[in-house]
Amino acid sequence: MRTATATIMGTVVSLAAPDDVPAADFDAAGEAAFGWLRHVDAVFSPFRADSPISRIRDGRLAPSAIEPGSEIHEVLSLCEELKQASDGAFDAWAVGDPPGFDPCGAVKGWATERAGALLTAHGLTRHALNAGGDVRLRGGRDGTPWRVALTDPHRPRTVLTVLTVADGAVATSGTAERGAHVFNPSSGRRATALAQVTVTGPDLARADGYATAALALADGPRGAATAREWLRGLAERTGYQALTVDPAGATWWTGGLAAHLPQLS
Amino acid sequence: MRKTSPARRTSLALLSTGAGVALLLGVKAQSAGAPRSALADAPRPAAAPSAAPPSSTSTAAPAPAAGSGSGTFTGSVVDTRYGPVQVQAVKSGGKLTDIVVLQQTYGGHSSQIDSYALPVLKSEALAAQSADIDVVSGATYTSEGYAQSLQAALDAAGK
Repeated sequence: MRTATATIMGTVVSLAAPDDVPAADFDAAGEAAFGWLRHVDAVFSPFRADSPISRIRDGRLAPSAIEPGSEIHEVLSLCEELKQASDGAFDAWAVGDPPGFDPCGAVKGWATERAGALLTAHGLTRHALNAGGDVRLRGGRDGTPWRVALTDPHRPRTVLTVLTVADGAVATSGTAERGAHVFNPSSGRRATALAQVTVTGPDLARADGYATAALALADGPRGAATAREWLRGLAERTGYQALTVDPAGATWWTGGLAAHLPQLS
Repeated sequence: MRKTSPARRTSLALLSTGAGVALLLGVKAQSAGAPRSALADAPRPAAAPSAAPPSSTSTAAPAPAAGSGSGTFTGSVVDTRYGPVQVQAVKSGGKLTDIVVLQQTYGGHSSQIDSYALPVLKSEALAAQSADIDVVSGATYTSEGYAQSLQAALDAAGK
């Protein structure tokens, strides 16, 4: 397996591709993807006072003034779509306390989805791209699906289970690595009722947003049941499948996930 | 590559050697109890609303079926450089599914080891058994936390 890593967006991005890819092609595709992610990191940083995100947050830049077709516009549209799809659980405009605009929960998945497309455009049609735990896969490995380990949130470095995915995305949101960092906009509290949510489907931007939304939904009055109900409906509407782990370690998954769990058959 | 890269598997196995394997070797299967799943004690999740279609619910992630070679094997107390440690190996269907650290030392230098190194040793031994993976999805790790992640071990093994 050819592998490459880069430290971007406060995490490490890992790229893997089969050995039969020429090294020069692998390196060129990887640099294009990493370069794009570094660009996104700079443009969307909420920590830079002059970034568009900071300017939207403090009112210097009105969303209506943002040029359609621009990167910022694309992310804002995605945030709006995720807010609608999650009944408001994913709300980039109500992050933190006091609530403010922060699209970070959408940016990483979106940027990594685009980075994967760049890899393909550079000829790297079989790849596994991992942005700090959110994964985009293409082309299978060598005639077989990629094997994606899901971490056990209660036992770091151990594998909860393995999903097989030839083409698609696997996104996981949880409280294990960074503490509870997902806010429920309706309660203003940090989401803790589920330890981890994994969502798999065609597109990483959506999978990532759905996983984050489910974690926030679990913080509602009915707790994890609300999140599972929503994930079940999501699977029916969109085909995106999910697996959750609660704080006691119990797992639950949508029926369609079985297609990615060969160990069940 | 799953079929063609024994090198990766070997590398991961090497990562898990050292004290982790020393702990495992300390397990002398003094007693074999009833088969138990690593997560068997976890309570079942809240029942799904009755109006909704049934979904899969389990107290454990898709786990190996119990079969021959299942059971809990408790080791004797062994002295390690981190202090006396006793471990329990849980096997299911002939596969190692969990390692439980039964006794740890506290205080002084070794308390830091207990809260950090022992869980890593335990998980590395399990990770070596699960080496047939390409990539790891989990809660976002920081660039600092990456070094301790299973993905870091995979990236290192691929080179």
